[in-house]
Amino acid sequence: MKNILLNEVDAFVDLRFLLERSAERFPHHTAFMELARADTVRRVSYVEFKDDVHALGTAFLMQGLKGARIALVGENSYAWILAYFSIVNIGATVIPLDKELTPSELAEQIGRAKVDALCHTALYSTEAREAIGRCGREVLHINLGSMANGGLAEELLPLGRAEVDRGNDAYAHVELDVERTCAIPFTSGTTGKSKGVMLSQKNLVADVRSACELVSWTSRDTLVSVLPLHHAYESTCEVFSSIYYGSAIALCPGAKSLPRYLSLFSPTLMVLVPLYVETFCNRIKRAAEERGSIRALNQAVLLSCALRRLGMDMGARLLSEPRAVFGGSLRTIICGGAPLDPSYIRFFRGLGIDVLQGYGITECSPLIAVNRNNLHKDASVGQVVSCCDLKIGEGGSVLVRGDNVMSGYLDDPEATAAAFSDGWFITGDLGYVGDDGFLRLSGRGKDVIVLSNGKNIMPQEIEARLAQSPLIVEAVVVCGATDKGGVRNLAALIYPDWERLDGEEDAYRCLKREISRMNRELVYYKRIAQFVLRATPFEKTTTKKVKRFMLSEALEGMTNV
Amino acid sequence: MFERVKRIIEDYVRRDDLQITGDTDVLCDLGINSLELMELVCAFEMEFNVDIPEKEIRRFLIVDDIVAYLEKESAVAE
Repeated sequence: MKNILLNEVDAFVDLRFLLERSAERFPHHTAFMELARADTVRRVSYVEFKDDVHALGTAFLMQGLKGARIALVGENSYAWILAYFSIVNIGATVIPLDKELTPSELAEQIGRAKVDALCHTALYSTEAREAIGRCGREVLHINLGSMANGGLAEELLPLGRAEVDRGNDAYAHVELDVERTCAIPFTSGTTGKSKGVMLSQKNLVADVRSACELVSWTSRDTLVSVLPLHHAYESTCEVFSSIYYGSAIALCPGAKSLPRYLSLFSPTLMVLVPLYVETFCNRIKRAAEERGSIRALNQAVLLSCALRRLGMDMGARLLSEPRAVFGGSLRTIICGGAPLDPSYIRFFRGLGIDVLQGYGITECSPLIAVNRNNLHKDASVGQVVSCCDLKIGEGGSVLVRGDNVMSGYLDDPEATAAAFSDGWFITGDLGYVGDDGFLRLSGRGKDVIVLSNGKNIMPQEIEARLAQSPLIVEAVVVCGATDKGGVRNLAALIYPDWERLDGEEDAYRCLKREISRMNRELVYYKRIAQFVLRATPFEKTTTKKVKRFMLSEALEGMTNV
Repeated sequence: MFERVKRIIEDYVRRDDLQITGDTDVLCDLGINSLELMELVCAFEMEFNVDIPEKEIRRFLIVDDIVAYLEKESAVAE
């Protein structure tokens, strides 16, 4: 096995130290960028960022928020990151909320987390006000404003700055307990109701350091941040890691603005989920088709891949036009959150862009494994980070323990107890570590279907088979509602390609034939016994995972195969 | 308004077999994903000279939602 030493990473104990280190090492380098109207770029340097955190942190302390729980909602913005650092650096706890939640859902999480204050960006004033009104608690309302449109934390920042100028050094004297919970992100809730994940500075810092040991970039790199910041994946793997490296991050407020951000900032590195990688690939291919040059594109990709194997990177020269979709300078994509088909990795390699798959879970801050810049394998999720041990348990279950693992779920001792086995966190995923030291995932254990004959079925395996049919867009395999001969059968919820089918009756007839054909290729206990067709695609979490728990009631009207 | 919206959608999805009505689901029926919908919305913004915030886009379930939003915005502009 090829072995490459880990990148050397400086020691730092908490996020305040991380910020101060970068302000010292890269004082005048741009840390964050936003676009104002007429494409004017607003920039903040590392030393300005540190001073702003100092001022806002001081203002928070003056509001009596030390040790408080402070929720945070807003689009990707400097205001959001400034608030996050100001909260965790004064020994308070940040509760990053999903901006796509409705005010009622925000209110529910605010209530459940017993929040004392809610910080929001200017864009989310209405939702924040409504959520506070509905949560049934006294919650301090803090408008962070917006850097892009002027008016960043208009009340608190000047107040904090004036206090610092007057010699108020309360911020500098806050002693941070790295073991204390400093962030409570809510999990996306694929396996049940969303749960608050209690993470400490120690957890986050361990994961950032480990991420940097495996994936390296530099202060010359530019990133465009588009995944929602409330996800630990985006905050740890993109923002905190970039702060360590002293890179510049352009904060894109949403997917609609992404093309403009890519063209203006020409990122060299991006952190994405498969949806983006797949959509960009499809967009490039579609453009080539429209120009009648799809064959030339495919040949150029193959040639470029072959040249790269010989050590010649000609992607930028051979394929400058498709690369322009990303602004023309993109070198690396870190992709996580869901499995990515390796064919996309090969396509982007041809363009001269390395796609490094990673794997993590919010409960692990979140990174568990990632491929490296100089050592990567397409079908794997990479090497395990140094801050945690990983073992494969019964049935291939991936278990981890280490400094990046949460202390538990908020006010949920039962769920916490169920999440651990002898001190090992049960990720719920199945996989194995090959002789090459790379982790490969084979499915999600928490979705495993256990039949009454003792057979464990990974629904994803059968779903992938079903999805190969041109008549099926998406399928979810679940445990059937009825028993046959004492064995619970598998059932499929299918969202068919309705355009290929002539109405419901025809759809059921065609699908029955199709599934029967597929069943013949499957071992008996993996056969689909029943199915039902859906009119709409499956509801997904913000990270595009099907909300399986919402499908348990959807077994009515099953048709037998 | 509906005809202009319909034409933009047809230009974007480029499918002859698609019959676009007010009830057409913007994701399922058009066969596009959430990122592609953003791209389509940019085409509306250019055509109607409006800025459609992402928060509004999440409320577009069927074509009539888009038409209603654009009619409202046009009325405000006038």
